[in-house]
Amino acid sequence: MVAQVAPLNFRYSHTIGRQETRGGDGFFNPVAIARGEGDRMYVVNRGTETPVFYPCKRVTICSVDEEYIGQFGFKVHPEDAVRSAPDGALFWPTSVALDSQGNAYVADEWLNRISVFTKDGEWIGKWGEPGDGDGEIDKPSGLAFDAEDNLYMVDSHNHRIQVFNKEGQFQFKWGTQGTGDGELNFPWGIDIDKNGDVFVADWRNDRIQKFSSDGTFLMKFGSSGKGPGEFNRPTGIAVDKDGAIYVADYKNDRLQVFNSSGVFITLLTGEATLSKWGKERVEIDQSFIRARARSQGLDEREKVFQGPISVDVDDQGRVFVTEVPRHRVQVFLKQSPEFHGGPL
Amino acid sequence: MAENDIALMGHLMRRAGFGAQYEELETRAAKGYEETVEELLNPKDHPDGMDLDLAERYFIEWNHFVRGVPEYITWRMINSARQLEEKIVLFWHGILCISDSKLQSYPTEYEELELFRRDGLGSFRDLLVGISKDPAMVYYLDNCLSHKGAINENYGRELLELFSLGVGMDGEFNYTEDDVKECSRAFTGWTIANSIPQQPYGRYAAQFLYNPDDHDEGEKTFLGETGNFNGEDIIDIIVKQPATARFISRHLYNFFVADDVEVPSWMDTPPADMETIKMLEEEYFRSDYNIKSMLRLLFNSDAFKNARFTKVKSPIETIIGTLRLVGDWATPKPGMEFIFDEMKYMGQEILNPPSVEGWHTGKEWIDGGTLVHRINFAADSVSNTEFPGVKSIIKKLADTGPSLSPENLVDGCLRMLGEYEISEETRRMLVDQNSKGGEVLTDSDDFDTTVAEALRMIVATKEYLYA
Amino acid sequence: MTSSKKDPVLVVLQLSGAYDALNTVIPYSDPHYKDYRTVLKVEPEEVLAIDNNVGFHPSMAPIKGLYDQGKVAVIQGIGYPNPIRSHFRSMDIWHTAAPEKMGMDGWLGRAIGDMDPNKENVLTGVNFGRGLPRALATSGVSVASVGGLDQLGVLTGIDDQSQRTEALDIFARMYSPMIGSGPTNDYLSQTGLDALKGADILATAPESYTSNVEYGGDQFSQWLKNVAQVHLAGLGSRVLYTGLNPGAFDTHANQTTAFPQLWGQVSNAIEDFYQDLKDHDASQEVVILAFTEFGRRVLENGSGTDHGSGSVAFVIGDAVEGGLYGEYPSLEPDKLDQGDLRWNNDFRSTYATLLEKWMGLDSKPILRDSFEQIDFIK
Repeated sequence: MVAQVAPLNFRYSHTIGRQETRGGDGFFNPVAIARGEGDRMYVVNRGTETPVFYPCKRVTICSVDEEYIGQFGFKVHPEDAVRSAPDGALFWPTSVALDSQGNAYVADEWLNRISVFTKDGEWIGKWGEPGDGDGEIDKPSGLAFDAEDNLYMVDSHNHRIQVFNKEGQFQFKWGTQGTGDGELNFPWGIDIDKNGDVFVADWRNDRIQKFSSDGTFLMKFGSSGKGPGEFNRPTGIAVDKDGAIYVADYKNDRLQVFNSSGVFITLLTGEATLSKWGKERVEIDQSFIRARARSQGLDEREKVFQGPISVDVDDQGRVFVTEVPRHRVQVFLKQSPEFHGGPL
Repeated sequence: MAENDIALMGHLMRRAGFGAQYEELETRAAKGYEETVEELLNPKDHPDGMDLDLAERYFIEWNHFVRGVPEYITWRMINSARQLEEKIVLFWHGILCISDSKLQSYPTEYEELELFRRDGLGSFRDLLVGISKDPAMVYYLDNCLSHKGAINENYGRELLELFSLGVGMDGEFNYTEDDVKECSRAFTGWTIANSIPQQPYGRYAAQFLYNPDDHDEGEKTFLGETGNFNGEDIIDIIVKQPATARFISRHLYNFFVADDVEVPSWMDTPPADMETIKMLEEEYFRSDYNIKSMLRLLFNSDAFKNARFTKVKSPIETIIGTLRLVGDWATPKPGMEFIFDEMKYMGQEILNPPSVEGWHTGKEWIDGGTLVHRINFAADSVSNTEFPGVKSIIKKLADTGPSLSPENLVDGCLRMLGEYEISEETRRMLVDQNSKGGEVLTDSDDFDTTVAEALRMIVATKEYLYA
Repeated sequence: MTSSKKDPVLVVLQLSGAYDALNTVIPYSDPHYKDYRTVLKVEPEEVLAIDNNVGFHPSMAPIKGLYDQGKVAVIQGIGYPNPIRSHFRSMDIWHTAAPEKMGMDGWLGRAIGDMDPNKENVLTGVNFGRGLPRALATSGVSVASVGGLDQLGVLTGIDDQSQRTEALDIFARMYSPMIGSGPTNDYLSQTGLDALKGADILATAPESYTSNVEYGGDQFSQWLKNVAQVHLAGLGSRVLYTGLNPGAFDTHANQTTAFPQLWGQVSNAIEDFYQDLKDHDASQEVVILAFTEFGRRVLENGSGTDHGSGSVAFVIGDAVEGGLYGEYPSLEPDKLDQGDLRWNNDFRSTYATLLEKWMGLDSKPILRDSFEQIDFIK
C-alpha cells in the first residue's frame, strides 16, 4: 500500500475574535470577511435587532494577528431602519468587498443599498434603489470586485447577478429564478478568480455555479445533502490564486474545498482555540478560568464550526472562516502540494 | 358551504391553533372536519409552509439558537401550517415550566421547546422522562443540586404537584411528604454537565449527565410500591395513577375546551364537565398515555364542538391570532422585538412564565392594564388597511355586492374574523354605530375605512376577549 | 370619589438595570475601594461626602441637596436572601417580596387591596410605564397603568377626537354589565369600565395643574411630572409607580459615561418632583422609594461592572428622618460574597417600615411575615 495524502492540506493556525456586543475587541454575529491591504481584515457584524446593544452592527477592522484597528457603520433602531436611514447606518449588512483603492463596499439586505467607506472607515457614499429593473436591487447579498473595479453583486431576491461600476452605475446582469443551468435560486456568496471567472453560491439550489465574466454558464457542482461535495445551503465562497474553491457549507457546519474543476478535495470542521481577545476576556476573572477548566467536553464542543457563513483566502494561502453564533474567525494555512526539496 | 361548517372550523383552528384567515377556513372546511383534525394531529405528515430556510437567512441569530429563540417560536406560531404542533408547544411550556429569567440560556431553552415539538403529542410517559432529563428543567428546578444523601426536593415535589399527579383529587391527597422525598431520592444523579461559560464565544446548550456515583441506590417506597427505583421507575408508577389521568385531562380541557377552575383548586373542586374528563381519562389509559389519542377524541367530541367562545384568550393567542388574521410577518422584517413587548404588556411573556406554576389563565389574564394593551393592539392591527389580511377582508366584503347594509357590514366582518359570535345587544350597538350613513357602497373611496372601523370596534368588544 | 389628600402617598421609582451601588454611595475612604476600581473609581475630592466614610456620586448633587435638608434616608446593604444575579428574577423578588419561592402577586398590589378593599377608587394605584410591573399585579386588585397622561385608555389609535369620543361611548355601553351573563363577563365588564373611568379621571389631572417647575424632556422625568399631576389633582391615588426602562443601569461597559448621565437625569427628576410638590404645599404628603434589583460586582471588568448582589436604596420625603441606615457592607476581600458586596439588610424591612409607619397598614399580611422595622419615618 502506497502512503498517499490528499493534494491539498490545511493546518489550523489560530482563532480571532470573541463575543463583544458593544463594539471594540470582538465581533457580534459576524457574517462576512474581506482581507485588506497588509494584514488588515474587515469583518461585518450583523449584530442583533434587539434594541439594546449599540453599536452591535458594525464593520470591525483588525489585523490577522488580532490587533484592533477600528470600526465603522452603526445600528439604527428597527423603527428607523428605512430608506431614509442616516448615512453609514447598517441594518441587515451581508457582505463587504474592497475595491483597488481599498475602499469598503458594504451590502445591506434590508436597506437595499451599498454603503461605501474608505479603508479607514470614513463614510464616502451610498447607492441602490429597490426594485427589479436594471440596476435596481432586492436584498443584495454577496459582493466581489473584478480586476477592473467592476462590482459583481448577488441580487438575491431577483435571483440574478448584476454588475456595476464602482460608482454604482449599472453595466449588465444575468440570471433568473430556477434550477436549470445558469438559473439561480436565492443566491448568496460570490467570488471572482484570477481569470475573471465568477463563482456563485446558488444557495437554495445547494450548488455552486461558475460563469465567465460576462455571465456565460460554465459549470456547476454540488447537490443537496450531507455527504462530501453535497451542500446544505452554501453561503460564502472564495477562490484562491491556484484555483481552489472554498465553500462555507453553512447548515452542514463545515467548510468544503474543491479543485478548480469542482472536484471535492477535503472538508474542514473547525479547530478553534482560545483567541487572544478571548484569553484577555477570560483572564479578567479567575472564576471564568475555573469555569472553563471544569466544563466537561469544552475542547471538543468549542472547536467545531458553528454557522460558518463566509470565507476568504489571501495570497499567502491563509483561509479565514467566519462563524455567526460563535463571534469568531478561524484561520487555516494551506499547505503547498509542491515538493520543496530538502532531506527526507 | 354551510356557514356552520366554517364556524366550527374557525373554532377548531382557534383552539388547536392560533386562528386562521377566512380563506383557510373555507379550504379546511371543504376538506372536512375530521380530516382537518387528523392533519393537525399528524403534523410531520404535512408541510409546514414556512420557508424556514429563507427566514433563517435574515433572522441570522437562529443559527444554533444561541439567541433569537423567542423570535423563532413566535415566527413558527404565526406562520406554521402545522398549527397544533406549535399550540402543543405552548401548552406544555405553560405546564412543564422553565423560565429564561433563571436560565438565561436560549440554546438550552430551545432544546426544551424542541422536546415539546417532538414528543408533545406522544406518550405522556416519554414526555415526563424527557423533561426529567431536559437540562433546562434539571437546572430550573435544581435537580442538579440534589445529591445522594443530600437531596434537593424541588424537582421531586414539582414533578408530583405540578407536572403529573396534582396535590389531590376528590378531596384526598395524592401523595405524602415521604413520597416527595423518595421521589427525589430516585432522581439523584440526574444532573447536568458544567456549562461552557458565555465568554468568550457565547452560550452553548447545557447537557444532561447521569452520574451513577451520585445516584441513591437504596430501596425506596413510593406511592405504596417498594423497590430500588430510579427516575424512570418512578415515572412508570406516576403515569399509571388515576390522579395523573385526571390531572392531564383537566389540563387538556382547560387549555383546549373551556375555562374551568385552575390547578390550585383541583383537589377540592371537581371538574365542571366530569363526563368529558372521564372520557379523556379512559382514553389516557386505553392509549398508553397517548396525548394525540386523547386530543383526537376531544376535538371530535360534542363537548368540544359546543364550547365555542367559552375561553378567555391568552395574550399569546390574542397576539398571534391577530397577526395571522391581518397577515403580518409572512416575510422576515425588522422589529419582532415589539411582539414580545406586547406579550409582556398583556401579561404573557414567552419563555418567562411568572413561576413554576405557569400562567394563571381565564379571567386572570385581564386587568386594567392588560385589557387596555390587548384592545389597543387588536384594534390598531385590524384597522390598518395596509395589512394583506385586512385588504383581503375588504375585498371579500366588496365582492358580495354593490352595497352593504349596516347589518350586513357588521355580520360580514364577524364572519371574516372566523364567524365570531357576539351578543345581540352588542351587535345592535355596532349596527347602530354603522347606520348613520345608511347603506355603504362597496366601490366608494372610503369603503376601506368603513370596514376598518367596523373591525376595530368588533375587536374591542367583550366577546372578542373570548375564543 | 372621596377626597383623601391628606392620606399618605407612596411613590415608587424602579431604577432598573442594577445601578452600581459601590459608585452610588461611595465608600471613598476605604483603601480597598480604589484597588477594586482602578478605572471607575471616583476621587475622594469629587465625592459628595456624607460623612468621613461614604458619599454620593458627583452626578447626584440634587439628591445630596435633599440629603443636606434631612430628607433622604440612605438604606445601605440592602438585599435579599440567596442573591440571584438575574435581572428578571431579582426584580421579581423585589416585586413579590418573596425571595424563597416564586411569588405570583405584587406587594403593592396587596397593599392596594388592603387600602381599598371595596375597589371604590380605580386610581388607588397608578403606574406610568409600558405594562404593569408585577409589584402592582395582584389578583382582584385593579390598578391603572398608562403610558403617560397624553396616551390614555382604549382605542388611542383613533386620531379624530370626535370619532374617538363616539367610539368610547359605544365601548362604555358594550362593557355595561348585562344581567345573567355570568361572573367572568361581569368581571370583564367591570375591568373595561374601570379602565375607561380611570382614563377619564386621569385625563383631568393636567387640566388643573400649573407649575413653575420645568421637568426634563426624558421619559422618566415626564413620568414623574405625571405622578405629580395625578397627586396634585387629588384623585385619591395612594401608590404611584414609575421607573426607568429595563436595563437602563446595566452598565457592563462604558460605565464612566452612562452611569453619571443616568444618575444626573434621575437626581434632577427627583429634585424637580420634590420642588413641584413643595411649591404646591404637598411635599409632606408623599414619600419616595427608589430602588434597583441588585448591586454590581465589586471588581470592575475593564470599562464596566457585571452583576453582583448587595445594593443601596433611598427613601425621600419630608416625613423621612434623613441619614444613613444599615451598615455599609465590608470591602475586605474575605468578607465579600463571591466577589460581591454582602447584603445585611433585608429589603422587606424597608417595605415593612413604609407600610406600617408611613402608610399605616399592617405589613404582616402583605409581606406574609414580620420584619424588623427601621426608624427612617418621623
